[in-house]
Amino acid sequence: MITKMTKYSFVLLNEQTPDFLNKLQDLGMVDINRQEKAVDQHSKDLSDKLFQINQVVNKLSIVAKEKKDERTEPYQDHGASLLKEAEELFSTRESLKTIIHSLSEQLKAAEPWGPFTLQDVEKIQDMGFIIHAYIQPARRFNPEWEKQYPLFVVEKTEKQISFLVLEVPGESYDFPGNEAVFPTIPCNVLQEELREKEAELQVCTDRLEILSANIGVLTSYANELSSKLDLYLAGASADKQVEGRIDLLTGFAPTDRATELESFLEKESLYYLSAPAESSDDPPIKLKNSWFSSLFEPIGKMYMLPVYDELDLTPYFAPFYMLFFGFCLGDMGYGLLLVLIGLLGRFFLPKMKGYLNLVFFLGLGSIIIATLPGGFFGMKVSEIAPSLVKNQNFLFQFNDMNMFWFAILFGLFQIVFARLLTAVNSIIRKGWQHGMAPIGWAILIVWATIAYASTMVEDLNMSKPVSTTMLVVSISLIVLFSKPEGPVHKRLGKGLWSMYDITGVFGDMLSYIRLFGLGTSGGILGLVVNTLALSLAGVPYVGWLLALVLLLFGHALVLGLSALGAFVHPMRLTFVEFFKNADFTGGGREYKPLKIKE
Amino acid sequence: MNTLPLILAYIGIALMLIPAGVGSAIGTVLAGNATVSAMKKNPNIFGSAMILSALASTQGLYGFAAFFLNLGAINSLDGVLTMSQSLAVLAAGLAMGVVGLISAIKQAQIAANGVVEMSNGHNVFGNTLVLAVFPELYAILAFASCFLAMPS
Repeated sequence: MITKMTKYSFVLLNEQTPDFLNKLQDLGMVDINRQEKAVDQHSKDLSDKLFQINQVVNKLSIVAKEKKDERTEPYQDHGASLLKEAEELFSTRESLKTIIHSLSEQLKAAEPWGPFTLQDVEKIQDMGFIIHAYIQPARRFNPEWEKQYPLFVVEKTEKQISFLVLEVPGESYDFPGNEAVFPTIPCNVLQEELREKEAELQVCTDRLEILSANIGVLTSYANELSSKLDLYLAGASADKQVEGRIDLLTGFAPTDRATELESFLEKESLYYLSAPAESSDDPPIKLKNSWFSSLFEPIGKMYMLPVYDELDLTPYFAPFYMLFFGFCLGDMGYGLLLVLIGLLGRFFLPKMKGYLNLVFFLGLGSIIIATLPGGFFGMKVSEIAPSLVKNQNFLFQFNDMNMFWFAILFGLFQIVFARLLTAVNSIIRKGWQHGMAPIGWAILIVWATIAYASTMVEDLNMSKPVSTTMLVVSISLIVLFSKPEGPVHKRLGKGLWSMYDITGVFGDMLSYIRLFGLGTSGGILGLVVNTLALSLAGVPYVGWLLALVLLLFGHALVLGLSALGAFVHPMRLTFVEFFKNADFTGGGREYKPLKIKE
Repeated sequence: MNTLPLILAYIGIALMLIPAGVGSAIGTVLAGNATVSAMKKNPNIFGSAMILSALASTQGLYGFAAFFLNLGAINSLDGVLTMSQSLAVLAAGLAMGVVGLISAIKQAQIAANGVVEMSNGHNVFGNTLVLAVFPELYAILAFASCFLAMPS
């Protein structure tokens, strides 16, 4: 259900506006019409700052995950200084990492030359000698070279020898071999520098780890800025009148809270107008559903919210979604696991209670639907407990073909339900003529279903008068009332054209085959896991252990994959098939009152 | 025993499994690569991006399920098939293979685009999820056709 809204138009003197909006924000009830994006430099600065905070929070979250030291130290200062410090530390950390990388590379090149002093090198060069550096594998080093050339071995290992050869001024230089680069900084100096930088990096990381335990301070700062931005945007959206002296503001508040709001407005002694919101005002949408239906609101919001004068379809798609999920999961055992996760999860994750309740009901849907084919962790109930199927021939006994037709029938039922829902809603909101075409469609779909089914099941044969009446009435309603207003020829033309929608209904019906496809493939995968586990059980000594491990991992994997499909495909059936047949337009904007964010 | 129908039927069930599996493998790699690149921009989207990357894995599963059902059906007949039964399995296998292969790759392309847009800060997870399952319907229909063409 969509909460009724009252539209308020406030007339304020320009200087009154900031104070009034502050009070309105404290009240946290009125959704003032405002831009959601920055409108000028000030709001852009605030948005940029919020973005910066978000980036730093993300980086600190990664630090918090990676840190080993669990000690915490509360941050005493304001969020702004935490943001500044964290940004500086992250920047320093990046530079230090780059420097350390570069030093490590230099060290790798300098290590073969061992420690030396730059002064010694300079002295040799001052004497007019040119230094040539070489690194040779030990086996290629010719000891005769030491006699033939002014050669000095600098570093010698088992594998390689690093040496210098001096070029005497005025003499020709003909030493064989490829020259290496002689380091400009000795390795002992580089090692010292590297140690220093690594120590600095450690200090930086330690401080970031301490800050990462104070993300809450940054979040509060973000909320403070976000509230400021919201307030500023509300003020900036005021319609300026009388040379900017008068501000006109428009907002919406739930009608059931009008008394509370209006008593506040009376105290403020300002001029305002209030009227029930109309669809043309584009009021914000606040959904108000029963406890069960509200669990499915996040699913509906993934598509879009209804517009103000539209029917909120959440209570109508919720039971279908639950059962469709069960159809796609297709296994009582997996359903039972989801029910347990939903029930027990709340003790470990109290903040996720809403989602866990949804998981509970999705699991319940799986148990309900899977009682038809009787799948239980890839096994068949009819095989593991034959006594359960002895005195009845319905539960646990649907074969694949039964499930195939049941999926199509279930889909047709949802399509007919959606058409009837449209009919009732149109009759209430627009008049009886507007509900006739959807009723015609519902009758036509039921007629076509029974007519086709009767070709396979003789008991379903309709008597000719009933069949003819259904067909004539349905087509007449569609042709005459698809366009209930306007000249007769246009109405008939539109009515005939709308008959083309029969292809759409056929396509929608086929789309429900996915329920069967997903349920069957999931069941087969469960069966394969069991078969493999049984074959492993024959391995001597450790067979049962291996089988148990395979069963646990295999079924967890199948549950994960099947649950993903079972979550996504009913969503498609809801948003495309059900919403289309229920004449859903959507596009409403969410109710976001001006309030202080906490 | 006439072996030609049996050979044709086995080619059919191989076709159910191989191209659909290859399609899923290509599809998951395609979307997975997009996820890895997107993580550089926004590491927070990993959970949602992983779900989108996994979408294209189902075609391979449908192929496997179809293979499993048909293999069971052939075995239950002790490998004695009529030419018409074996041609039905071959045709259904061809349908499952080709449709599974193409739908997995195309589905992954939608998922990969969604992941890229999510990394750019657009909240398109729900929309991508819904759009990405559009091409999968045809793989499901192909699977259903394998089920209907099963020899009995």
